[in-house]
Amino acid sequence: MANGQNSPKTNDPGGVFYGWYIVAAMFFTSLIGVGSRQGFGVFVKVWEEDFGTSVGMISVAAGIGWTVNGLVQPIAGSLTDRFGGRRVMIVGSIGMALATIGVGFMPNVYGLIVMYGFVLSALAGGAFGTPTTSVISRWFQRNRGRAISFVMAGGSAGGLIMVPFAAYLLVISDWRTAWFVLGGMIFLFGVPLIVGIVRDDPADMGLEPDGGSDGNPDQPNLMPLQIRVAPLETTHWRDSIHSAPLWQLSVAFWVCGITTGMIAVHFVRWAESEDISAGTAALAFGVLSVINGAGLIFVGWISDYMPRKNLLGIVYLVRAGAFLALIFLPGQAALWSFAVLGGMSWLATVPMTNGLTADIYGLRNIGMINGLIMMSHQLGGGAAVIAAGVVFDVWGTYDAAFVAGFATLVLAGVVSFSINESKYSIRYQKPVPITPNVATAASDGD
Amino acid sequence: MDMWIETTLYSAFGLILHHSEYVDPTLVDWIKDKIDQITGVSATTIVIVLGLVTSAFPIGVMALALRRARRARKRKR
Repeated sequence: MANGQNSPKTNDPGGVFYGWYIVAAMFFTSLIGVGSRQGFGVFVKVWEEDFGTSVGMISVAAGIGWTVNGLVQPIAGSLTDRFGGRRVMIVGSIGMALATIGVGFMPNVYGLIVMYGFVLSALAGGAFGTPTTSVISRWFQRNRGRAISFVMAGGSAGGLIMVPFAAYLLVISDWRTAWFVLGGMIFLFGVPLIVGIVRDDPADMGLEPDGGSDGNPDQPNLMPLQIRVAPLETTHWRDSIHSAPLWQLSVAFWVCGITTGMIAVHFVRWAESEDISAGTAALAFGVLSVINGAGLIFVGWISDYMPRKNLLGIVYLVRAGAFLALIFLPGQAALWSFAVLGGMSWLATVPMTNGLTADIYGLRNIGMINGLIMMSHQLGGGAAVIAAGVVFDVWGTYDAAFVAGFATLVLAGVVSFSINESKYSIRYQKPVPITPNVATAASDGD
Repeated sequence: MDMWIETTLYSAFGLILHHSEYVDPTLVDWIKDKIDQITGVSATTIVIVLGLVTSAFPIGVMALALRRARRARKRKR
């Protein structure tokens, strides 16, 4: 690693730290990858007519895609640990580009389920998600939260740019051409960016995480090279299963999946049950998405300056407040309160969860551990969507589901606060100055 | 058969992804109406503009990365 015997440079000779170029490249892959997946909704009506099927059946493709993408995360993480995030992202993005083009060839809804639900969604797990956050965690230590939040913001920007792009593409052409163009864009712009810019580790370029030393380009050798090892870094990822933080982070992220999955699917239906038009509910959800982008970057930025677990706990409690609004406030007030409070906390959990994981478990098995935590999120979301639907069918109201959402969010908040960050996070470990023996041990450890 | 598959699969998988959920079709129509009202330009123009914006970003990042690499080589000499 960066602190090995080869004495890597403590500063980036190219000016701006190279890690930020990687962040920019990954911002774009998130933008184009997440954006084109969100664009799926643009094609629902035209597929309904063209395939002679129902919206429900088309949603099955999206639902399977959700599940497959979640189940693929630990596999993508394991491959990332083994072969490096760059290789996984290259293969994933090439495959994703081809599968996106492939969607344009599908003759019926079953072909769509196979190509989009299984092939494209599995390959998307390699193009962004676990490999992305794993690579970023290697390049950043002090600015990890900020860097991850910028990458995640690419997904929010993707919704704002790629969805209208796909919608207007559909106006001037047909749905098959639109998918060819989207796939072509991933191939022409996304793949070269990953190949040309993304590198697995700063040590590959003779650099240190965050640009080394104090991050001050004018004083590159202010501090001596030092070693800090994540307290729970283990040889094999299985050993981490016996540690509390993995379960604490997984339980909290499972709740994140429960509450966001429930809202993403049932929000418009809830609004209609409250005599709010679908258009107004959709607009509120759009407002939530915009606030989400800003909230994500803000929270990611301040998480680099204060204990991440406290911020994570606060974010869950803010989201609990959003659910409280849904339970107690009348229709429109509930809608807009939720849009604001929910938006502030929607994606903000991700940089802190991924940041804490890397801080506590180190980088050796970061891909696999991130993948496991991500899987808990997806499974929670899947279960909650079905459960909330059942609640509505039985009682004709979402109140019981929202109360459950509120209770689990309070639990997630408490669990997050209870993480012993000062004991387990690398941020709170005292650096050990490098001596020849320590340096050898460190490079052996890598 | 189709009905059975639809009911079973939809109840099992009728959910949307938190990080890349597909956008609500109603929201898409609303966004399109607003863009049409505000800009008043043709769909082709909007596709070209958004396409240029999307492609400008990776080209810009690549150009900056190449410039950085040249600078780094110069400094090393």
